[in-house]
Amino acid sequence: MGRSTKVTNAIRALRFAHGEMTQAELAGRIGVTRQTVIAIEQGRYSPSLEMAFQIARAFGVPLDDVFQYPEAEQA
Amino acid sequence: MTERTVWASLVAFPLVGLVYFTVILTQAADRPLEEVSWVTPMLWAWGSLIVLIIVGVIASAIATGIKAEAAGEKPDLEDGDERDKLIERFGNARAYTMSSFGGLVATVLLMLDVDRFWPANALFLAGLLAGIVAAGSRIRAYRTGL
Repeated sequence: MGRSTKVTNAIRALRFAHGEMTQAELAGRIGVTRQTVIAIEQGRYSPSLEMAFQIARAFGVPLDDVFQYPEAEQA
Repeated sequence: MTERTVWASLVAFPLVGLVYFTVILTQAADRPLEEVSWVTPMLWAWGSLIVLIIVGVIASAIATGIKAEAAGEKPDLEDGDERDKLIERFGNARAYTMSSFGGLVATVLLMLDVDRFWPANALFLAGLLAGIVAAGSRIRAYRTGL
């Protein structure tokens, strides 16, 4: 508890690339609260796999384009 | 359960505990603790706790709804989402430890055949502390992450 996830994401950049989509709009599309979108963007919460796919689908991009995991940590 | 529900609990539990123990200790100023009238204050305390949390949640939901409407946004999900549920379970796990410890203390007190004031109040205190621990750990999870 209290630690940030090692998973990084490009949600903020993708939101701006998709017509400056607001956090509230993204939250509405994937059925979560705006606070959860904020927490994911800031790396305070790793979403479930299902939610991660929903976010990727909302932007129409593959999962890898939204979430990244550092190479060194995979060994 | 959402963050505002947790805030209502975090305010209500310490407030009720403070009032209850102030009432008990005030009575104890002129008599032994075992002779203090604690049943009625405890019933009032539990009742007040439930009412305070309900009122806090409703008031907060109304305020959030008005704020969202003023900003032209849709209000957030009332029941929360997967993150809220995960944080709720995390808080429950922390509270369970405190409740279990309170139950153990009360059992030992009953074995020692002390006045019923002590096990009853040990359980009550454990319940309050469990509520505070649950709410505190949930707020921390909301603020710093899971």
